[in-house]
Amino acid sequence: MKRSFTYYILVISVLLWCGMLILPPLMAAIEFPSHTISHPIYKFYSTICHQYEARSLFLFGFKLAVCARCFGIYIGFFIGCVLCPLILKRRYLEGVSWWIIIGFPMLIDVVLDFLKIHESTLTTRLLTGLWFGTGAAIILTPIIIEAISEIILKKIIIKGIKHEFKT
Amino acid sequence: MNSKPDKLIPALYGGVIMALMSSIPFISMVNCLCCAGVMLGGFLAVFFYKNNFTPDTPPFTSGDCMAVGALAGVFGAIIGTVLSIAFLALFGNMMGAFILDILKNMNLNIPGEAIDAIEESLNSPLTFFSMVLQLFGGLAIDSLFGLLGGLIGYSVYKPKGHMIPPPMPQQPTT
Repeated sequence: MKRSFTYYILVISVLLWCGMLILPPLMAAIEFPSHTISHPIYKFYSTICHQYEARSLFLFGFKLAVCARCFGIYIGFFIGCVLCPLILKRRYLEGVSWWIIIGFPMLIDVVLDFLKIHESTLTTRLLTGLWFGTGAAIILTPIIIEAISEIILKKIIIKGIKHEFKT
Repeated sequence: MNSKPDKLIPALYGGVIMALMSSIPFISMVNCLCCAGVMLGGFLAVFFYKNNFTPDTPPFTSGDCMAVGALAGVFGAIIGTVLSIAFLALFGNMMGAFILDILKNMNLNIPGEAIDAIEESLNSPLTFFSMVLQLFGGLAIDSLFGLLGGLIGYSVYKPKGHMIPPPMPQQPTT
């Protein structure tokens, strides 16, 4: 996989998203005891994560914007984006089987915890999330780049056609 | 060769599923796992879109799936906001009260002030501003995760041997 301009934009976007996850505890620590800035950011992320304190990682004494598993997924996605050009030289990972491979450890951790056979810990949540996120990025990065390139290409073609009509 | 099928109807189906999964109390908890319900909506929109293709239509591309997923997210956010307001008006904040009960029974040593703050936010009335905020937040989150769901759908249903066409040479301007 070539490192194109679109690839760098994707990596920077994912990095920004991951950076946003540590912003609420950082802001909460700075503005303590007020929550004027950190509260709306926590509220924004509450739509995508339960944010239970018992299942979250803490920074400066305040929980991150998302739980440990979600944090693992997003950080894993960033790691996967960075590793993708090194891992995928010729072929892309296709089909449902890869999704089963990357999702299986997380599913086992969730199901066994639900059935009270094994208690999932912060470490298992973080590690299974990291595994899933990294795998998802390795599968999706070439597809995202292909999709964005296709949309840009379509725009160039439409622009070209419009120009042809004008001249 | 026929043109590609319409994206609007499959996106609408995906958006309705997304909205139901995001607004029905307790079922909406599935979104606590990185918006799994929203991504499922985007994924299913691609599934419905794929079913409209025949052998004489050009194969669907990753750009098509990204557009269908994002469009499903837009529909999901609008329908979801309306549905969640309706559910809130009909049944109240059932899920919020349920989560508060769990927190109280977990013996987590949560300070009384924090519990009071949570209770206060649960009992706060629904204002026009909060509805608009919910809609715009939903539009951003649902279209992003719907788009990802659409791309997951593409990775699963990708037509075999599909290649992205090379860029067209630019015409010299005269």
